Amino acid sequence: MIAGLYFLLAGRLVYLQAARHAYFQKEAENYRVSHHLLPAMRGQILDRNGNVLAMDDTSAWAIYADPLEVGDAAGTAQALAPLLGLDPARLQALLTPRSSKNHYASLKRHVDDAIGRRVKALNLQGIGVIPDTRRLYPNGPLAAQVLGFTNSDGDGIEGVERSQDDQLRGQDGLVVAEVDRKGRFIPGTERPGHTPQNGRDLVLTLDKTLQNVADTELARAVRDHHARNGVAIVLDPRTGEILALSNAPGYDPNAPRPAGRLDAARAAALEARRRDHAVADLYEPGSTLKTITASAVLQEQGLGMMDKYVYCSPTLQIGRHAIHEAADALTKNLGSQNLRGVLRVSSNVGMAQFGLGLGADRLYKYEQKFGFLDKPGSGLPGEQKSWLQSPDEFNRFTESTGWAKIQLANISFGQGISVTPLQLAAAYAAIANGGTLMRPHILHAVRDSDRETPVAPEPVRRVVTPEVAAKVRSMLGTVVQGGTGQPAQIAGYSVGGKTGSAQVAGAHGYESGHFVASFVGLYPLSHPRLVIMCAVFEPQGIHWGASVAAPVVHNIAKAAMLALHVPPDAPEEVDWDDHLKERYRSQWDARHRMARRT
Amino acid sequence: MLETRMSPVSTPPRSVSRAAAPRPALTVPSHTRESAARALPSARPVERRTGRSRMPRSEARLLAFAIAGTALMCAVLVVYLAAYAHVSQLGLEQTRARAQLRQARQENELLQAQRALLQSPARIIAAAQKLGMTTGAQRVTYIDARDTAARTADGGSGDGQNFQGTNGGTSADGDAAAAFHH
Repeated sequence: MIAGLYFLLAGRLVYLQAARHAYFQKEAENYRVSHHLLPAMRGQILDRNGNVLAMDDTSAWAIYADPLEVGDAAGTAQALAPLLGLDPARLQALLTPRSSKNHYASLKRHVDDAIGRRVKALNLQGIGVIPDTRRLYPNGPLAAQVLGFTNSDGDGIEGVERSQDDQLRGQDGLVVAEVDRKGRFIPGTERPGHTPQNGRDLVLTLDKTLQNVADTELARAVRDHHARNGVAIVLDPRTGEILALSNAPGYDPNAPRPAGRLDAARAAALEARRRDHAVADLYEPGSTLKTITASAVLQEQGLGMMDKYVYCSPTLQIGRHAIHEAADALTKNLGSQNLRGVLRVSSNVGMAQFGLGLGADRLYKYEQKFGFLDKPGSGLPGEQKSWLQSPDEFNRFTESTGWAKIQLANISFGQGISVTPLQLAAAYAAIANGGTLMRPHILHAVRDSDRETPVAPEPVRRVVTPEVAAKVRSMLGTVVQGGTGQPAQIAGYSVGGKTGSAQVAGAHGYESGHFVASFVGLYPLSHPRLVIMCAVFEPQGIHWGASVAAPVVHNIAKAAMLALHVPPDAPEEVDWDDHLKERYRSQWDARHRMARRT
Repeated sequence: MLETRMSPVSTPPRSVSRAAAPRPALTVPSHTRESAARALPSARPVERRTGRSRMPRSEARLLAFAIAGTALMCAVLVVYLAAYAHVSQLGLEQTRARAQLRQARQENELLQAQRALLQSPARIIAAAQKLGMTTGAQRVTYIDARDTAARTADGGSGDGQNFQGTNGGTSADGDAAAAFHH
């Protein structure tokens, strides 16, 4: 019998040691060895001068509760609610256990260091405080639509955070080591795990100073003109680098979503504020597109076209349709104008005649060559492209192939075609740099630990010859010198540019009283360093590009020339502000003299 | 046996074999026997020596080996323990250094965040306005080579290459920064 018992015991031992060896080894391993996840840091986003635009803040705290451990849910909720900024009733509901397995309820994440410490000091039963990481945008709303934001788990949701998420996101590390009774690692027992790989830092092409100026000036214009929204872009035409890209109204990416529930209207308004209208919204550019048509005319028909004059009557009848000059030009006799004159006075009728002479195929070719039919590929999410139909395709409205004559005339002066503000700025940059379309881009370099990989400028294609580009630039200079673009003049620098005041197309044709006021300027015109574009959507009251958008470009350009230390090239040039002062002074003097006489 | 113990003092240890050999009996007086009995304790070491001398040489060698082996093992154990203690100490120091590194990194990140917050243009502008500062003219000032009086660009003088800032420092076209005042 004793032998039998020994036999049973031996059998049990064999069973435990041999048959269930793996199980017990695993159990022992679990008890003694701990796997600790080391979260990787998300890469920083910097401007071209190394200023931090977005970074991880590790000083934050996460507050959580074990509802089964919380004794007094009501009392705990009352104590925590003012600190966490939460509704006490909602908090109490979170603290009340829903089941016997309800051991975890997240109360609030990304809490400030001071508040986290205060919650810790309360020493509430069942309430835990653990370190947390949050994304910090130290400049608040600066370039918010470009940067975007992340969700609470650190995933990119909008902007560069979204489009470059793969580069910014790191790879979490793992530490495997034996732990003591209190769960602390025993030194020397670490096993090979893997170290966390932090995400790559992104150096953007943005310049914080210029971005701030653009944000400030654009926000002021949108506010002053009670506009729906606005866009401003500062582009380096030599490289295609986006130095500033501003949207107004903006938002603070540190708090992209206000607390509480949003109704549909507020959610839509919030969505519109987060949207990068510069790349994601198509609009009819109006007169700013006349520059493209003029470039196409000179490139296709030769520089001799500068000697061709057309008569700019107030209206031009094309079949059943009539093309009108802009309202302020209707009362004036624009007379005969060559291409330079047509641009200077921004004549729709004049440009329509040049466009008709060029033909649909050739105009379409240049819309394509200037990049309106392709997504710019800037590295920003949500890019759009023009949906202009080729003249070769069947047109279901005219029930024939090719563009209708009125369509060709309209497209010549920027109606009936939609572009994004970034596409238009890039097209002007091609004219500014001598005729090469450069890919506009937002990434300047990628930093991986100590190594920095620069992003090379990418020429897309040659669009026009340097001679044609120079001629178009000189015409743009005329527009600012004596045409509609005078408010863009700044002291000491030659300036070129073009205004645009386009009607907004709706579901049933153009909407009355809805305009897009825009201006694109080249600074300095003799050797352009910057292309500055501004579009203000649906300003109330005055809606001319010269009155609404050109002053924004003027103010940005003044600050930019100083910030970038661009040497002045035209000392005789007078600032438009001084023109205005002089004009007001002479008007005031005249009125004063009249008053004295009477 | 007693007789053999009577004159042991001068007997060398190797006389063990001689002690075993037969000897003529000696007549000892009774008082001498008593004194010999008293002297017995002094004879014990001789007996011990006689006992040890009985151990075979191979055993003695084995014993010596055992003692030496034990001593060596003890020494190795001591060295091992010392090395293990040293490794543990190093491990602790490493853990402490890692903790310090982690803390230093966290502090560095915190300082970076604070610096970035302090460099925010909105904060700087607000602070400047609080101190009574306003935005400058944001324009270039030219100096006429013949007339050092500063004139703004709308004065129409200057060649665009020779200009100076408000601090009065003239510069050629190489140092454009001096030409600007914000």
